[in-house]
Amino acid sequence: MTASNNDQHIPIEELSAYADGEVLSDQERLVIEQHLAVCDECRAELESLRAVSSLLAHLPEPELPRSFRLTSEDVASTRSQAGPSEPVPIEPWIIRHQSLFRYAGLAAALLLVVIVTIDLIPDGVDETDEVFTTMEDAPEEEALDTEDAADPPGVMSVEEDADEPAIESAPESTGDAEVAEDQDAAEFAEEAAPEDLDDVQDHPVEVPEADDSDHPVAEPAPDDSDHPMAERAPDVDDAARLAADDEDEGWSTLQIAAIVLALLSVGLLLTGFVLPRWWSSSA
Amino acid sequence: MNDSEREIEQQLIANARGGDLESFNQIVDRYQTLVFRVCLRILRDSGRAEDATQDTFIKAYSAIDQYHGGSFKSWVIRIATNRCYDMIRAERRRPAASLEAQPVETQPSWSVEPAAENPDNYADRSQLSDYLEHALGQLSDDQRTAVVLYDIHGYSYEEIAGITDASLGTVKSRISRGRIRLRDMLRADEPSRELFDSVWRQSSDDTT
Repeated sequence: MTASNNDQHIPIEELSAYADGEVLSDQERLVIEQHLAVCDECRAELESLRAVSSLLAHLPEPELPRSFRLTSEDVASTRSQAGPSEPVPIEPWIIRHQSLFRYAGLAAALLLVVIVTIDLIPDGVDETDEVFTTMEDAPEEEALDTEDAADPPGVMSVEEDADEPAIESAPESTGDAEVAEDQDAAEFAEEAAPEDLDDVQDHPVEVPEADDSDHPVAEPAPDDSDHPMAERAPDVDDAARLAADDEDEGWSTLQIAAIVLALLSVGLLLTGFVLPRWWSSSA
Repeated sequence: MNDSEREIEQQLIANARGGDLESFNQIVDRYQTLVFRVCLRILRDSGRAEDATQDTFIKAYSAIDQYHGGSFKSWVIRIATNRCYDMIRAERRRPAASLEAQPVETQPSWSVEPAAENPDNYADRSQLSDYLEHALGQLSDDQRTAVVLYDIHGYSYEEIAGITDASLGTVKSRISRGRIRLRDMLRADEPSRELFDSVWRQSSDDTT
């Protein structure tokens, strides 16, 4: 759209806005006016748009059919409990919702305590050892995860398949027992490899290899390489071992729940108690 | 609205915020005609426009804490247009009661106040108004709302953008396209074209 070029008409949208005095800049208005001075067609367009506007402005208006004043019944449902409302101060969400965060944080903390208590009660102190074992296991399993995504299920299935030799000496410290477990798992993975090839794909081969490298699972191996087989107590009940496995799985789920709850409650409590104070002291 | 009127209005709003229904009803007195007319133009049905108007004021009363200054006229019309759009959407979800299923009216179904103007001109204008009402009904909801708010109720482009949650460019485009469609519809058949052209010539003469 240029002023000098009369062949190019003003876009009708611009003409409409010009008719309303809603053109953005003086420059734009000047361009339109210069064009209108020489272009009958655009002038006619402009006038037709003005005629429509004028007709609309003069449309007969409907009368009000009734009063729309509100009765107390009309508003009973909307603000029934609200007495004279206080002016709402403009506050950030940390302040406005701080009680919500506090309650949510306390609820999460309470739930955490309940979960931990429930699982401490039935089996007593021995269970706590299991907890630590599981906790120490976790990072190693994660390490395996990064190595090969199919590993953890593979290891578990292998352990389940090969549960009979997967026995450990009860009197050993948990650390040793854990190493033995890992060692066992690795070895049984190797043993089970031919049968489980379909399920676990390459991993049974990789796990034993990892023992020789610096893989996290393999690290404790050199120290205790002699122990696992020797320490295996032959009289440990298979069922007990299975039960222990089940316990481990249950614990790891609960463990995750407990960790999530712990983080959640810490976050919520911080947001509910500390952030508001920080905000009001800084404001 | 002058400064003292605005001051009174702000006082009424403050009272209504404190739960004073009579103060709120004085606000209703001020805006009910406007709200009803806008709802009627958008919905094109007197009964539904009444419902929308009532809903608008109930909503405005319950949500008055959310009014943070500025133009109350825009705030209340924003509630009204949202309510109308909700009703239109609800009707479209129920195909049996859709607008398309209703017979198209050429005559407005509501009673009107006669326009105070030159009686010679009145008959033509009145008939042309009927055509125009019909044409308005053919616009898209967005175009009709923008055109009605600008040309009939005098809101600015910026206010309409705020009311309808649209950009300034979108408002500009809706208004211009709406007008062009109205014009083209008025020109589409012989009787309305003659009337429109006579009015058009008249307005051209007025402006030149």
